[in-house]
Amino acid sequence: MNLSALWETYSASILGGALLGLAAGLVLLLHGRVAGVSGMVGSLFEERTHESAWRALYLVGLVLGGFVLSFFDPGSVPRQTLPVWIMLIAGFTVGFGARLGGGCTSGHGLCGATLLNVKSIIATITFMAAGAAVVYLVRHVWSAS
Amino acid sequence: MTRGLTAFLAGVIFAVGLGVARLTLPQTIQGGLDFFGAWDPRMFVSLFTGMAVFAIFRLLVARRTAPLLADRFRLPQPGWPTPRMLVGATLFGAAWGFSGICPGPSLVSALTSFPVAAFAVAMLIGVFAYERGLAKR
Repeated sequence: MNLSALWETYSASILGGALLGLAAGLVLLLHGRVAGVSGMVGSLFEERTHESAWRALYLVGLVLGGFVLSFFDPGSVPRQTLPVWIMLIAGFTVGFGARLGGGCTSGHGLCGATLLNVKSIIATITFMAAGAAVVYLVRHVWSAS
Repeated sequence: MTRGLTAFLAGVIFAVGLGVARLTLPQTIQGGLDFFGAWDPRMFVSLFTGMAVFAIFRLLVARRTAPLLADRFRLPQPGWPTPRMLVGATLFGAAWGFSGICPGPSLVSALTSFPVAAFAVAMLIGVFAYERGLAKR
């Protein structure tokens, strides 16, 4: 694969990834926290503090940002999804597990691991291993039988 | 006011990043986790790029005693994970691998895909169940 083909394949991933780092970096520089999505969702259900409002508004930014982006970049909208009842079970488990685990891909993976937090690095390796094991089962064991 | 606006804008930037990188699509996530099949490196390319950019900000704040809009930094405590945390990370990872969706992307696509909206609502209920059931224990 030559360089221009590599760029064609990965430019959107690099640009998008840089935006993730920029957003998380702004939260660190301005607000002094890691930009963990499940943590911010958790704060919705915790006692109100002087930080509750901005953390809720970050989540509003996620929802509205995705909505507006869908008009400019329809390819960002997921079209192939699982049946709703499976989505409900998966969603509950993702939310509950992320809080029990102290964070999700954004808080542990993007932020915590970069801050060289041992807890976050081990949590990230753990959820990636669990995810890889399930993908292996779904794609290579069940589908083959 | 300022804090609300900057947080909102950071959320929008994060949403655009997830969308542009196609991390909103379950196929991108599952392809990234499919180490023993048709592995798709794009998820890791995005993750490592994001980590590199975030690391620049980390260095930028290294000598600051406080962030610009708060009285002090509130960053994760160092230390080893508890067994409970690892159970949580395993549950989270399994459901993430099965669905190809994690909390951020579920909110980003909540207004554009009905099944993902269902996921997002269930995710909120899962977090609520934790906060009310286990958080203080």
